[in-house]
Amino acid sequence: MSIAAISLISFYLAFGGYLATIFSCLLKKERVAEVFFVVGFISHTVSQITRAWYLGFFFPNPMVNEISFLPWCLAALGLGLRLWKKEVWPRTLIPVFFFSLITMLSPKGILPPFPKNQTFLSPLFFGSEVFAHACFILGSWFAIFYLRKKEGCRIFNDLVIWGFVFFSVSQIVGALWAYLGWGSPFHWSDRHLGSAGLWCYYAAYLHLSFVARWDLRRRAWVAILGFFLIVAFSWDYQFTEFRQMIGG
Amino acid sequence: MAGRIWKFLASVRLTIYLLFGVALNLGVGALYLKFYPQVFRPLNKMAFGEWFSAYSSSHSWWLFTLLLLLLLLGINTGACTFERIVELWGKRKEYSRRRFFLYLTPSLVHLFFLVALAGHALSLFAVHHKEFPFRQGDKLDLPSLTIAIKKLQPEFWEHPLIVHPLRQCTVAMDIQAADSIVSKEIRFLHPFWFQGWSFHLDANPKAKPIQYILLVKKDPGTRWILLGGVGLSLLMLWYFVEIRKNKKE
Repeated sequence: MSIAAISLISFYLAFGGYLATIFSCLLKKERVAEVFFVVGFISHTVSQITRAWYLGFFFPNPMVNEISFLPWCLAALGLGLRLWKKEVWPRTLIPVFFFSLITMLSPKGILPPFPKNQTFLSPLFFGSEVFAHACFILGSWFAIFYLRKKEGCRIFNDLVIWGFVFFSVSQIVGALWAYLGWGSPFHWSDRHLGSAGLWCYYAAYLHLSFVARWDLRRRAWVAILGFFLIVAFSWDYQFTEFRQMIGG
Repeated sequence: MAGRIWKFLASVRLTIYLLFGVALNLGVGALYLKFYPQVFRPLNKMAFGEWFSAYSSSHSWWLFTLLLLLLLLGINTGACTFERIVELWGKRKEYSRRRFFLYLTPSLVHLFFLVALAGHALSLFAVHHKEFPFRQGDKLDLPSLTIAIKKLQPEFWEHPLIVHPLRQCTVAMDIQAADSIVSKEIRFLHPFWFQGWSFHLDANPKAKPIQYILLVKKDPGTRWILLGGVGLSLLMLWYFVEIRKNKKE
């Protein structure tokens, strides 16, 4: 069996695990749900790691490609919440399942290597950026629950703040990579401008807490709107990359 | 009157409006770049002044509003930061050294942001960019240098699925300056610096034969962008970890 096949099968197992988690939750079998979720997450981790050997040699970038890495980050955050804030973790299941479904329906394969992504800065940039997106997305998801007055969902604010920290780190790692590879840390391209726009949007969000009339309820709306900006500026870019995929 | 203007310039409300404004403006700009790349991509290869006289058109309005908003954001950030540092400095004896630094950190983050912003402005207005497609044996002329390409050694992936298999390339060159000849080697992602210029290897692996390009840049803003960005990110990371620890305590 090829590594690519192992990667694909372990992802299907992960998807099955997440699906079984949702059914177990619906049947109020919490312990069983937790076991399925952990099994799904382990399979998903195997799938992500084996993606690095998709071409027969080690190439780490496919591990952190947004389409497959985003649901993994969401699941990792879900596991983290299970440990620190047990009462809210089942709420992470829908986003994990939804984005895993997108991965499932997306073309399989990886983006081919090119001379300028042969540096650790490249996977570090994509990895931290996708993790930040996961924090923002989960933040906007919990913001919906917060507006519906569900308990424990104030956490959306923390998720957005940590998303911003990771997004800032990703932007500077990306700037270093762009400088070494293309001679400039910033480029006039829709991708770079979109990322800068997203950074400014969430920087504005952070400053809202200093103005009294922007209470947590109003900020929740801003967090929800952020989700659509991520889709507009990042996912559009990811989908255009499908045409370049190989080995699917 | 002056006091009211200062208060307005240093207000967080203005920061919020400006940041949302810049975000919206950048979003609009991203769309323009997507649909009119031929107008805006040349900004990557020349300074703003040069670009303005050659490419500016009715599609460029967003660029001017962006520059105006960023200028205002810079002034607002500077005023806000100054006011906060002055206030904190007056109370410094009330806090332990660690706590004082913790409270000072957001202001330092804002200062690093200003450094990065100034770097972007410098890059935009004062960059020098040159591109030289080359082959082995070529001689490239820069204003005060001549570069002779001595050796070009590409490496390839051997995999049937990789259509454009260029992996790395080593280029050896002799640089003739006013009074000396210096030998240098360049690879993808491994630039070198010489007499204030940075040299980067670029290529078009889809061209047949592969087109190699030497990018030669003098960009006074780069170091400030990177310094500002690194300082901002690291301090912010430290600040939120500390705040979280303090909350727990």
